[in-house]
Amino acid sequence: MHGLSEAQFQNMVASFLGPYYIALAIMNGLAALYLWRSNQVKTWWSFPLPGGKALAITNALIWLVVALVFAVLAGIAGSGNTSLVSLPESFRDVIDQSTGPVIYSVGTTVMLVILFIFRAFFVKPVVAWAIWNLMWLFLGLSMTDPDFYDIVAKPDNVPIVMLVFLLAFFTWLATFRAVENDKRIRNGEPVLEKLDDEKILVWPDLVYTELICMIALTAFLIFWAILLPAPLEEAASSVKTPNPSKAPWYFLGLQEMLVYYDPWMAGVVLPSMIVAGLMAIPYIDFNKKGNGYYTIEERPFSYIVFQFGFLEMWITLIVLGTLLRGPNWNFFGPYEHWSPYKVEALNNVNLSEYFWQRMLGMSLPGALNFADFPSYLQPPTWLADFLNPFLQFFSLLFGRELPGTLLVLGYFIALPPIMALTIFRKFYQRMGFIRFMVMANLLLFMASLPIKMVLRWVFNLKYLISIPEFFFNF
Amino acid sequence: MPASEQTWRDQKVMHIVFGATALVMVIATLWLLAKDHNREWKKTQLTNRRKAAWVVQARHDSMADQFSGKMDTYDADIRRASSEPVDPSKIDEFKKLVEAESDRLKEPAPNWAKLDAAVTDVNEAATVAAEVREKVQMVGEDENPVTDDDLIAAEEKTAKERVDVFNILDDYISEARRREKQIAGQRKFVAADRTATLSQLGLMVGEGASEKRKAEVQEKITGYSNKISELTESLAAANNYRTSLDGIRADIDATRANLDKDRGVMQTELKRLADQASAMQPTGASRLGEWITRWPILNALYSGNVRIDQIWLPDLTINYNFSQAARFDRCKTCHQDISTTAPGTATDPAFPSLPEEQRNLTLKLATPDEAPKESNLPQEEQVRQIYGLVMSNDSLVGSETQAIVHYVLPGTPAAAAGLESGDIIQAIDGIDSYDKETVENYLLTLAQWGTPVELRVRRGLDHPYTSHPRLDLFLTDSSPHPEKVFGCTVCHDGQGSGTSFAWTSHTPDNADQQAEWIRDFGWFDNHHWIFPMKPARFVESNCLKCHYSKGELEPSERFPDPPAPKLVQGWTLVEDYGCFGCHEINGFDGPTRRLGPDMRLEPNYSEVALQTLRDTSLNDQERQLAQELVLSPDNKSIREQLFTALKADAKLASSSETRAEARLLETTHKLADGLKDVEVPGTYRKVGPSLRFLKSKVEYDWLYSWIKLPKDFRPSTKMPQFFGLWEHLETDPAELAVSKKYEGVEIRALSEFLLANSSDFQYLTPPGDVTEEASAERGKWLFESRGCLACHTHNEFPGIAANQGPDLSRVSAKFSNEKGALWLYSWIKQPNRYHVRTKMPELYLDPIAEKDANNQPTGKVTDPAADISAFLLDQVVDWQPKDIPARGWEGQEREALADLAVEWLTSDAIPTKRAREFVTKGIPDSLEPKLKADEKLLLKKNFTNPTEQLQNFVARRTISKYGCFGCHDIPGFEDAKPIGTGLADWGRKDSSKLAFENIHSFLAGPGNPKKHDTETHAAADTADTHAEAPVKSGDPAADAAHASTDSHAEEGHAGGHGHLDPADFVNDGISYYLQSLVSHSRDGFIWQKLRAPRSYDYKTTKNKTYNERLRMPKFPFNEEEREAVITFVLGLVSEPPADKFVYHPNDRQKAIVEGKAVLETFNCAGCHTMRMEMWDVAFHDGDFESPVDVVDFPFLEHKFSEQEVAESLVLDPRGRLHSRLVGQPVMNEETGEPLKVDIDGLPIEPDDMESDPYYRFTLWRDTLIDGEAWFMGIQDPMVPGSRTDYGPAEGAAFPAWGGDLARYLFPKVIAHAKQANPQVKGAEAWGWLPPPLMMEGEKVQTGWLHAFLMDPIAIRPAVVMRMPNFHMSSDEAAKLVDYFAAASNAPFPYEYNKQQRQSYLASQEKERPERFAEAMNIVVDGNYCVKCHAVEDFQPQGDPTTFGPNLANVHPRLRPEYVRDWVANPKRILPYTGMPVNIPYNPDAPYLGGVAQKLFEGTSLEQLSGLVDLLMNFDLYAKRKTQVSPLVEAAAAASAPAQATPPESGETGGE
Repeated sequence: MHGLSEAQFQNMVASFLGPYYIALAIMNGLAALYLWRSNQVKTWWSFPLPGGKALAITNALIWLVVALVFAVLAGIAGSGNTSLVSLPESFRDVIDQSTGPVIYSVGTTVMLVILFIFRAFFVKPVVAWAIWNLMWLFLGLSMTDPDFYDIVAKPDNVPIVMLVFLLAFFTWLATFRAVENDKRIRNGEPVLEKLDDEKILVWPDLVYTELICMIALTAFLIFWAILLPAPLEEAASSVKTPNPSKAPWYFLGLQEMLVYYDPWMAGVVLPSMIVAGLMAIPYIDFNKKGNGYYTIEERPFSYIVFQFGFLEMWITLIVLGTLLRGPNWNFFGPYEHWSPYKVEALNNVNLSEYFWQRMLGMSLPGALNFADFPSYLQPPTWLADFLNPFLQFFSLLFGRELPGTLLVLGYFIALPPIMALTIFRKFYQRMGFIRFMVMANLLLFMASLPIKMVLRWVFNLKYLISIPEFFFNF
Repeated sequence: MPASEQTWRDQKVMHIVFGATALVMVIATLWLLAKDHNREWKKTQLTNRRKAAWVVQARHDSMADQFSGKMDTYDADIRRASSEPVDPSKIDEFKKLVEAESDRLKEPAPNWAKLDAAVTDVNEAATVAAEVREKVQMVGEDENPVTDDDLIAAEEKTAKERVDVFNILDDYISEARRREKQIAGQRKFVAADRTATLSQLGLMVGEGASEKRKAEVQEKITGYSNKISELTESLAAANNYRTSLDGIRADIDATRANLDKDRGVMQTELKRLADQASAMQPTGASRLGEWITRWPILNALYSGNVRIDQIWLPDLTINYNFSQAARFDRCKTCHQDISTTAPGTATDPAFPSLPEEQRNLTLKLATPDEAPKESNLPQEEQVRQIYGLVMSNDSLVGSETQAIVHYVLPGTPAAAAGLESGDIIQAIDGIDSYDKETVENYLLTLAQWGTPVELRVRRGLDHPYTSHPRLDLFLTDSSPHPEKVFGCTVCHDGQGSGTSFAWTSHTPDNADQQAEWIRDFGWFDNHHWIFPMKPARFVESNCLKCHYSKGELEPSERFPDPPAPKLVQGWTLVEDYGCFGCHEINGFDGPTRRLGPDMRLEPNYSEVALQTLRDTSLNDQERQLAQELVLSPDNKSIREQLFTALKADAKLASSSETRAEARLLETTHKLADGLKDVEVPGTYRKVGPSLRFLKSKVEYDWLYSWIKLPKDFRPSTKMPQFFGLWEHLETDPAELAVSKKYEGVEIRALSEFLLANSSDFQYLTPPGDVTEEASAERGKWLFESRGCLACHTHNEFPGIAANQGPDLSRVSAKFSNEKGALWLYSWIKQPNRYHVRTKMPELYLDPIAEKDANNQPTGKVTDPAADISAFLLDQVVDWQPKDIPARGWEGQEREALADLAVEWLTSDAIPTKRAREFVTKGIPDSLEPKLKADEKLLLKKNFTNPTEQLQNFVARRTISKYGCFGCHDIPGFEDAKPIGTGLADWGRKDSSKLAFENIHSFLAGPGNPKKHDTETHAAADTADTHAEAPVKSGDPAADAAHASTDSHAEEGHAGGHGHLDPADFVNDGISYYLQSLVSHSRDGFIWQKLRAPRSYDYKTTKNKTYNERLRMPKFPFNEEEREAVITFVLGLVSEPPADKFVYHPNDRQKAIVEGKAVLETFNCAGCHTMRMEMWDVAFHDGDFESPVDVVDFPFLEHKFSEQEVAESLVLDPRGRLHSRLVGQPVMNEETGEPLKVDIDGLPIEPDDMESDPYYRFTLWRDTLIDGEAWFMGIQDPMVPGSRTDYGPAEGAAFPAWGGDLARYLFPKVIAHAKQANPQVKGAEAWGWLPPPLMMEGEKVQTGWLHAFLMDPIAIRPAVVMRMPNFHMSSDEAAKLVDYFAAASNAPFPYEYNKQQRQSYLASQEKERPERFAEAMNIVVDGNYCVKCHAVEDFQPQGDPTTFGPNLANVHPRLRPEYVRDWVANPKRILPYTGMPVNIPYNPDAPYLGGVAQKLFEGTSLEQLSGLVDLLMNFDLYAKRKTQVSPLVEAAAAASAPAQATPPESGETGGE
């Protein structure tokens, strides 16, 4: 922390963590109370006591104990003795050293896959609640690390942290209901949403509720603004850009794309595709099921594609960009000091160089020019002047960059028919040519990002097609 | 679903939820409002108001208390005055006036019976009253005691009677007034009529009325006019009459009226204070009103209550990166009283900001000898009566009430103890006190009677409630930086528009303060703000934004308290240590635009010329030009001629056709570029000596030792340490070994190269006429008295230290061989022969012909240069160069040399293997065009002696690497550029551009400041071993500790911050810098850079080549000097404000500032006093006697203006007078110390603790003390001295500027003179020493001074040393001349001397044709001038110490007014002079005094002016006695037969 000594920092953290753990304790206490009062107490295990009686270890009791543990943690942390409520330094070092963009991206993907496959397990309230608690605990334990604190407690990063928790909650809620509905559908029962589909009044049921929400939210925003005022950052300067220089949090996913794509691609083409693609969904979607209720099994393709696009390609990249990208857009572990002096080796190679120089052992072919043509092939000068750029571009595209061009064309032109003939045969049949082609191209565009990331990680590949002469890179 | 009343949610619950959220919303809104409303500055303002009101109230109460005592007396006095008898003579006078007036008006004589009766009544009553008064005073003796009441009754009766008398008198007066008014009224009417008639006449003239009618009207007008003049007369008479009556009446009542007036003054003052207090802290209804207007929303309508106080500075912009924005400084919002001065003063702060160390005091309050009597009075009153102390339970700022001194009555024990209003008494005799009752109780009952009680007192206020400490310099309207013009942040930085403590970017001064701020104000380091406030320690840095010359910031007459001492110190250090040799500080952007201070090396013209001279093929003209240019590098025409000549040759060489015609070497051609014009040339000379002729000066051994560790030979040297800085390598033996290996090679190569590469030097030899052998004994006295000590320090002379030149104590060890002795002699005799740009002057050490007691030559001739040289070489010094490796490169050393050469050669183009091949075999000649200059040394064709070539190659590379040429003239490096980062904008350098590297780990580990300090201390004890083995402590425990801190550091670094808690270092004074390093700030960076310049290499060397390692040397700065340098460097921001804010001196100020720089360059102040001491003396009425009266020539009179007199009589709040004395105390003739005397003027023994010390103070400027004029040269006032320190008992003593040597030599020359003549007068000894130069400008003519400075001549025979020749440039001399003139307010650059003009002389001589001859009578009379002065060929006889300058040479030298004043009364100009008043002035004597009439007929004034005119025109006088015509005629006659005279010379003959 800037200008704070170790002790001063610990003091500051302690004054935050005390109330934090108390809040967690209350949260669990309320959960236990709720279970108890709403008669959802379940005995998980009976502990036989001498005298023939048995002590029932119920869910309410467990959460009560958890609440007590948090209360104890609150006491410890609040007293300023934060070393007891920290993650061990060695553990933090391991996390710092073992994380990186690859691990992070692949790891989140794998995690999402696991969550998806075992969703029936993870959506169980007790499991979800345990995970929920662990998430908070992890945050609390990490706060004592000055570098972690520095990032997470920065007032404009706080919404990102809130977002992670909110997202977890709502994803759980949706999945929970979807799993439940899927089960019911399998059993031939009506879905949950159907159980409760009485019509309700606009006034007071809708408008009144909205009014209350509006007031409550306004009050919340005021409290937030008072307690966590927006930070003043450094003065804008034409000679010095902030380091790291970050987009607004909701665009950080896009900014992350810049690492892998040409700015033109990542900044213009892909965002346009996202917007266009989102708009196209209603026209592409042919599956009538799932209207008005949560389900996964009835529309697995839509579900998986959307969740992958949203959670993996958007949210996790925002989290990555906000919390893990530091000065010079280097990756920093969550407990790593954001040193502006950290340098990462960035030696990326274009596909054409791989192909011509490394594979064939020859130099890169240059661009064609009318001037080089035999005289009988030369057009008049004015025409040559006009056509030369085109000739150069296309000669590069199909000369020097031929491997990349072939790959890209193959990917976007050859792959959709193959898809239509193989795994997406049923889709093709139901959608017709145009709808399928639009869908397939959008899908391929979406897939190109992870593919490009993997290529970068595995081969240090810079661009598949690289024609910097015409600002055309892919 | 059909519509129904049923809702989905229970409405009741919804209502409750709605209610709850609405409530939360209300709370949020209120909180929002409160948060917005409760700004910290509002509280601060209210507190400040309370404080100010408290202080005013305390002053009011104190005054009321003092007045209330006086008030009783006043009442009695007034009663007494109004019961005085009426003087009958006054009444008679009154009567006479009335009667005369009645007579005049032909009115019946008035009846005086009533008045007479009344007067009788008064006087009877008054007699009774007087009797009663007498009885009252003799109370107790009478059995019928009368009481005060009786007296009052009697007095009242008299007063009543007096009123009767006055009533009668008033009747007459009012009658007189009535008459006066009546006449005035009449006149008004007549005048109106006249005006009307006049206009009537005008109209008639216009209308062409008849003459007759006009005449009638004219007559009317005349009638009116007559009437008016009549009335005017009688009005005057009536008025006179009335005022006379008034006067008499007032006279009778004068005593009472005066008393009344005095009392009125006191009452008005009290009322004023009371009003002021209540305005600041209103009570009652207005308080309520104020409170209401402070409410939210309401306060927007009315902002007079608490409000943001801002200064808008549209032109003094702040740089917001994209644009220059106007500054809004809101600092005064909280610092409300920052510019408030104490009442009645212009610059004293009203609420002084005391430094923390002065805020906690322990005072001793005397107690009565025995316990105070029991009394019914309240405790408070008893304390007031016994101690004069009034206390209250209150708090000035803050909420906690404490025992505060409300006020102290003057002249009481409390006042004597030094208690002041506002002091918080924290403890009394060690017992904590929280309220006044404790204190009072202790003082009345518990104290040990007769012994003083000890009070622990907290004095002063916290920020922001105090005033600025330097209101003379800042904020006030009379200061040079008024707040309305400059605001705050331009000097302090910080976020001026902020109104909360945290956001204004205050910067703590140390870790303690930071912790305190975090706790109290929620401070944080807002590193996003580009201009954080400067911490207190660097507050002076920002002066550099507008002040680009050091002289502007030095103490001056107007601001004797140094305005920016730390900054000036830093500036001087940068100059002295030559930082600019490597780190250019370019203060120019283009030829005229200034950015900041400019410190750059002067162009190397001299060096280039010297190097050119090495070319043997120069032709004679070129050689001569080059030789001239060497001595006068500022001579543009010579330089251009040489440049053209060399370039012409270069042009020949550049073309293949003419190449054969070129004579000069290629290197010479290249050199010529160094002679080009420079846009704005630098002005600084290289700080080190020239190494051009090094081999003629020192030997290899000494040189090796010096380069290795300069301070080994000379501990006080300014040369930094380049080698052996290995602290940061301690933990890395392999890297350390590399350093050791290569540094050895570098030192050796450098030593060999510098000697081999140097030019030949022609030593000077003693002149032939010297008869005596050199004598160290004579040399010692010469060394002391010829001025060497003004610049050098030497162990033999402990009383004086100077650092302009090196400490010479050990030079004998340096020059212990024949070469050294020869060199030293040449150097002493003519320094610029060896080093052209040296600042060491030529001392004119010509052979001295010894004289005997009768001033006759003895035939012995000594050589002072040889004597001084002998003295210096005679010193026994046990220093020896040690550990010097044998010369010649053998074995491993040769390999190391080759290895280093390989390191240098290796580059991307030349791989290591190839480089090694080159180094062994030489570089193929074919590669020559691609090689850099130094690499050409290794060409095969040059490779005859590979070792030598390698050595020279490495040496040249090493010189380039370390930038040796930044300080020294090294042949072959004339065109080298400074190697370091420019510092011109370092103060704004983005800290992300600074390479902090592993500095935290270093500081937490091996470089831990605490450990380091102890280590160096230890090392200092074991002296020399430090350089060899700085690390080996040999103590296993220490090593273990070492290791553990190391591992600590590793661990800490992983987290990004070393385990250094700056708070641990608060007491060491370095916590600030550690803190700054921890947060990566530039001041921390530079601190460490200066402290351990190479430490940023910690743990980085492994991955760099040897030559990439850091190279900055370590300068021998201590912590204080380091901070001063940092202060200076941080001020270099290259961000000049709008031009009108930059300091633009007027011509005079500019001359002073520029002159100061030259004065400092040549250390003029080493010998001469440039400014006398200045004592600001505070004293009480009567401390000084009255001065004696002076009768002197009228033109010598110094009249002080009435305002000056009035100012000198002003009492300060403590009732003291002030006077500023300029001069110096009389010195003891034996010790040279200021003489302390007792009241009778007898010297005080050092162990005398009883008598009050006084200084007899020789005034060097006329001054006013207590309204009385004291003139210099007439009488020395006795100044009460401080018992403990030097200076006045109360007030301040500001030291003199310069003259250390004169003061040091004062007792020595007296002792020396007494050997020859025991009768020598001590005070005159000042006249043998370098003269003070305060008034030099008024004294000498500018043209003469310029020539004198360029080429000094001997003037006064009495002096022990003469002005040396500094070989300064004409420009420098001109700056000095202007300086002297400007500093003494004399006209410059030219002056007009009327007395030397033909017209003047002609008009004078018209009246007295023989004026010169008569004046000459005075000159040649044995009693006057020629007694002591030589005149042309005449030499006086006797003791040469009493001789004055040759009078024939006065006319070009001195200004006429000066000569006049000097002859009139020399002591008024030089108080110490032995010259008497020769032409006395006596207004009562015939001819106004003067010399005998037979010498010069006329008054003393005429005699004086005749004498002055003669002296000022001595050349004319002499010229008139010369006849050329006879010579021409004789010559013509002699040559006539030989040849015919050409007609031209015939013309001359005709004259």
